[in-house]
Amino acid sequence: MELVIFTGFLGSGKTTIAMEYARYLTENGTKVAFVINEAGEIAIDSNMVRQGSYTVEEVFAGCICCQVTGDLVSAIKSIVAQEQPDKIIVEPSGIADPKRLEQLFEDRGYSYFLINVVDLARYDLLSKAAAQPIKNGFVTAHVIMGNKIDLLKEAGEGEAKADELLARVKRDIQEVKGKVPFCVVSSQNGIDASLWKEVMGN
Amino acid sequence: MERSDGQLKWGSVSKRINLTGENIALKSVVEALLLRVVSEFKDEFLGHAKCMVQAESETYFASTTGLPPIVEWKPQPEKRKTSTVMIEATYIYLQNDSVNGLGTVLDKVIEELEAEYQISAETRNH
Repeated sequence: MELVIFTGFLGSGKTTIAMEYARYLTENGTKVAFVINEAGEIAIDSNMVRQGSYTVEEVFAGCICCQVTGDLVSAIKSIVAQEQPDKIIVEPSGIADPKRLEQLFEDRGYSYFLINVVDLARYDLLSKAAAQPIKNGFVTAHVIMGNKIDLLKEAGEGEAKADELLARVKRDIQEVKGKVPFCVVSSQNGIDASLWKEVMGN
Repeated sequence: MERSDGQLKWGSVSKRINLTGENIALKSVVEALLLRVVSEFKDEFLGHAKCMVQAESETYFASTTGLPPIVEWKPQPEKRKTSTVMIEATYIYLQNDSVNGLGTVLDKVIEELEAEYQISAETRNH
């Protein structure tokens, strides 16, 4: 049983991408369950995922990397006991520090795969204002997905600006992580099965 | 609720809002609720505003995305008007002095919406 963890800053599109991945897995006969953590006091994302008929354990009103770590471990245990899924998709809150999460999963001896979701539409703003969590997302990732390319191309100078930004994102990733698979998606427009096959290798 | 971990300081404001009125323009009201509060803080708001909406046994999810922010819906609500709407909204933000007043701004925006759309809002903090 493997954990697939979607890290990424607030509003980067983790839930939508995680649901796309779950759809891909389900269509291929893999049994999937979710553990979703929300910093706020209302479990909005988990209700959205439940609408897709997935089983969800929720951890809310705190962050799993530091405040409600024990709740995360209990949620994983509980969902394994109830559902025996092939994969558990874990969506931490957007304020979770990916480095702390990585440490947590290492310490617990979980088998895990980290996908970092980058909000391309707000990259210029967030890479300055939230530089450390963005860098930690790159450093810990097995795969990085640049999301919202559609919004980026629609805004400002369109294609040229998007190309320039993508070059900058790749350079920033290279600086802190070196070589790591990077792909560009628009979660709102759907993610093709071939991309999942390529990035996840199954 | 707030936390500081040395690198990031954040907070969240969550509210349950019950709207009643005749012919509530669901899409416009919800989008105004999310966007007005966020735009009040301009670039100071680095977080995410999202909500779950229940209207006539249908459930919708709306959240802010992009820069400048727009509202994304799942599913897209039909262009109909309704008489009761329940909204559970959460704003998560990075903490700084200006965003500290988010709860107050949210209350002010709800009051504005009541007057503009001739609706009645009953709110409860989470």
